[in-house]
Amino acid sequence: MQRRSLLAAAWALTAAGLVIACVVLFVRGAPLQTNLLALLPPTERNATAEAAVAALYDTAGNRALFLIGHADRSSAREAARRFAGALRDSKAFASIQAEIPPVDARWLSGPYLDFRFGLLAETDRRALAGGKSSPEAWLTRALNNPFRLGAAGDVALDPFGLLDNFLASLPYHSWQLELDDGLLVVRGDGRGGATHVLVTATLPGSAYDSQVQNATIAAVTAAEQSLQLPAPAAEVLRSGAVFFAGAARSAAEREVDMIGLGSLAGIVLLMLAVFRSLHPLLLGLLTVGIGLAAATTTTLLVHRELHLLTLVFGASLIGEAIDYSIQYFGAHVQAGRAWDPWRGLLTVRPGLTLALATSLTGYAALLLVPFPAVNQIALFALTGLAAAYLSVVLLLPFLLRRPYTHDISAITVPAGRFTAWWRNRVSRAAAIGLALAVLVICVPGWLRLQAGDDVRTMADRSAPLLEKESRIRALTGFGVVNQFFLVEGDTPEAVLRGEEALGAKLRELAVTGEISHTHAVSSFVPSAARQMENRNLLYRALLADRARLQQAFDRLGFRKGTAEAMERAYRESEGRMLTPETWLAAAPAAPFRHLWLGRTERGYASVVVPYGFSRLAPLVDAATAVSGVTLVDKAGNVSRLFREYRTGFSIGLAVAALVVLAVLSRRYGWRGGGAVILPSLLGMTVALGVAGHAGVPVTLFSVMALMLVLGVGVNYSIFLVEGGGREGTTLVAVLLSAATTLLSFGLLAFSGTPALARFGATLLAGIGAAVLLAPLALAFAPQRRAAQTQ
Amino acid sequence: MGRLIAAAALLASAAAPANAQPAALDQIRARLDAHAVVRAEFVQTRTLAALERPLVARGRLLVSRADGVVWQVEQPYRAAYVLQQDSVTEIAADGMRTRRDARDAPAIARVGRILGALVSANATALDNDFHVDAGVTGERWHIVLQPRQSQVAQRLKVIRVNGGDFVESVRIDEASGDTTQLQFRSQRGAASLSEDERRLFVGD
Repeated sequence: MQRRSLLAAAWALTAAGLVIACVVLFVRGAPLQTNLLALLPPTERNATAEAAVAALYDTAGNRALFLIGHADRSSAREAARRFAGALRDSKAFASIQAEIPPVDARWLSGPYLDFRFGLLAETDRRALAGGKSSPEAWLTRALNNPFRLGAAGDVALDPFGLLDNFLASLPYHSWQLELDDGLLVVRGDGRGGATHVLVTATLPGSAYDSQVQNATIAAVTAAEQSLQLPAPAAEVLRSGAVFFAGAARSAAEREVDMIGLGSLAGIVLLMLAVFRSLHPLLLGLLTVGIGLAAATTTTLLVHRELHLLTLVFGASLIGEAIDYSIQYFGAHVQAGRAWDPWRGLLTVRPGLTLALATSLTGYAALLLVPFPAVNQIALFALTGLAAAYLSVVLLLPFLLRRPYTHDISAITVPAGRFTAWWRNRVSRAAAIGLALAVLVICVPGWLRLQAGDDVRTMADRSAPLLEKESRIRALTGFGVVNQFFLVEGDTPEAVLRGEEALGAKLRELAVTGEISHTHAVSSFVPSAARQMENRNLLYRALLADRARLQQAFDRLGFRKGTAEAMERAYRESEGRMLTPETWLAAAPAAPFRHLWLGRTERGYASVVVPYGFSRLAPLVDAATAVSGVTLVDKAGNVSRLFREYRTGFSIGLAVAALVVLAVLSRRYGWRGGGAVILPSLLGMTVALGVAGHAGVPVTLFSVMALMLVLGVGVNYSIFLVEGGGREGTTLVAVLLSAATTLLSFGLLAFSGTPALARFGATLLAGIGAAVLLAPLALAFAPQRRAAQTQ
Repeated sequence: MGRLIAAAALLASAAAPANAQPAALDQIRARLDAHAVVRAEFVQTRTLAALERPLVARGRLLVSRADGVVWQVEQPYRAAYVLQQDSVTEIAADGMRTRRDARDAPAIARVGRILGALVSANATALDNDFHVDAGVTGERWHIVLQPRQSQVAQRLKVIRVNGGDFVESVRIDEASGDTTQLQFRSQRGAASLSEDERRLFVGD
């Protein structure tokens, strides 16, 4: 007795501490993680690649982009200024940019002018190398070319138009924005389309910080509303990780509320309906509360943050955590006036312990998976269930002393008869027949099963936001980059040479139409070797023959001394090279700065982004052909990882089933253990069959759900088999447990996140079938246990 | 001329028509719209500070309202430039075609757009980039264009277009003092392109 009280007091104190800690953590603002990427394990073999992915997502993530559109140019401009003003007044953003400070007309050519003899467009390189044209022909064509940009300003600085051609070849085409009276605008389609004005904003913190999300989204909504009166026809397009994360978070919060409150309400109603007393209900909720508090606190302490997915999953764990107390209440009901809390505990404890052991086995297997998300969920479930179990075993006997006085024989007697009928009348042959029938029905579904590992179909992406983002991409050329080349080298020069070697391969792909174009630093800054080569080409083709050069300049009427000045400039620029550092510091580099990763752990690195491709294979070939180049495909790698884990999990599931069988066999013998696990195996069969019939792909999450079907489903068979001598209340308790579990996991099936919804649906089908077929275990049930208690 | 327009175009931008002088522009437009296809000869005289004497080029111009513009230089070198809605193609003397997508060369495409608008006096398109001042005196008309953008105005002062039944002359004054004069002659209107001309646009 002493020991019991001591243990109970110790646990009560621990539980109180956990609840207080949980409340404190939440009051202080628990770090709630909404970034789906944070859930994924590092996918790149190469740390630089992983950093490149992170850097690219960061540049995209810390920025919000708006396009304010209107059919009328001045209305669009006015609306954009008003919108930017409203955002600025809200102070929700770190900075807002709409107006572009006046720039010098030569801003584009500025950074290149000093290095012009080493910069050549690809077509000019080929023409100069071919050496067919004379200096005079070059000059004549360049001066009369109707498309001459005149970017250098003075004809004498670029008489051959080479700098002009180089500038025209720069990949500014992703930049469909034009400077219009101090604002950046996108012209619709040139035929009366709307004018869109660009407004960009920088976030004050991470896009995944809920405070940042709340403040910025509220500010944007208010700014949109401020346009409604003055410019009702104005259209506001937006893009930015903060909006997706915000939408995902509010959706997940809605789901936590819906699933949590829904399963809570369901449990309350079911418990009240069955037990007709508040007492079991309150005690049940107490054990669940302690379980959730323990789970939340432990997870927060270990992982330092709680992911939204964990919270959503945790809300559905309520249904499982309450099972232990329900079994105890079943014994309470059965005992009636002869209730002794400790003897009652003795009758259910073996079943509860076995059930906990099998559940923990299932969740512990998930701890081994190198997915942060899955680890968190597993840890959450392990601690939650263990705490709920301890609360039942240690605390409830002290709290449930009064005997049960209500008469619920109206439900328990028919249930008892049903169980007795299964136990005594259903022959083993009939049971085997039923099991086989279930298998046969499921086979066609199995045959139609398809695996799905594409990570993009698993995450919830708000459809209206996606549509706005794709319109922004179409209008501006700004978009999310999922695949890119990582180019590495010991020096910046080596990186640029690697880019050039890759560029040659990619140009071949562009000719065959495999890709449309690329963004690369080497387009702006050729390697020093290439710049030297260009200088030599230019010199040999145009400057070397001084007499011919002089004659050409004279024939075209250039002022005296122009040719000499050019030669002098050429000689003076000897050894002067445009470097990435110089280029990065120049204003026109702004839209492309993210391409240069600079110094890394292993040297230097840059990113080359291909556009307009539909097949990855040629890109992979191009990457393997050049040393130091890796094709990084984050979404693809994550999907590949999902496939590997799905396969691994499937094997793990089989192993877990064997382990559970072994645990069960210690108590029931091999045949009895097989009978107890059979309903769960059939439940998994049915879940897969249903998925096949419904055309739902099997994902990593479905396999995880099957693990739970195994863990939870076995509980019901254990409870039924262990409930010998009190068949009625046991079946009622099992049905009640199953109803609450189905309710909470079933609600998960309505989650907006496809991954969670499939998880819930698989559980719903699997656990539903497992509980319906649980009596099968009785047909083979070891009679030993039943005889003992009777 | 292209250089000047290009200077303008480089930083030029979109705008909805402001319709400064709708009556005059509409009249001019109505007269120029009389022909689906216009053929003309041009003489381009550029006076550049860097050159001691003017630079003269001659050639032919073909404007098709439906297909685009062909700027065919015959002297002092031979080349043709085909401007279309979505591309700019250069045809060298040996017939080699170099096509550039408007997406890949937006600055050049914009030059093409303005060039096309100029030679067909498409006032609406011009209005996107310039303050347009137009006047009609009897059979004659003129348009004066001043860049809307301060960045463009740093380089381009004014463009003047004169004409009657057709565009007859264009004069471009740069801020640096360089000028380009375009004189059009032997303009003829037609209802459709000839086979040879069509091939210039389609390219085979």
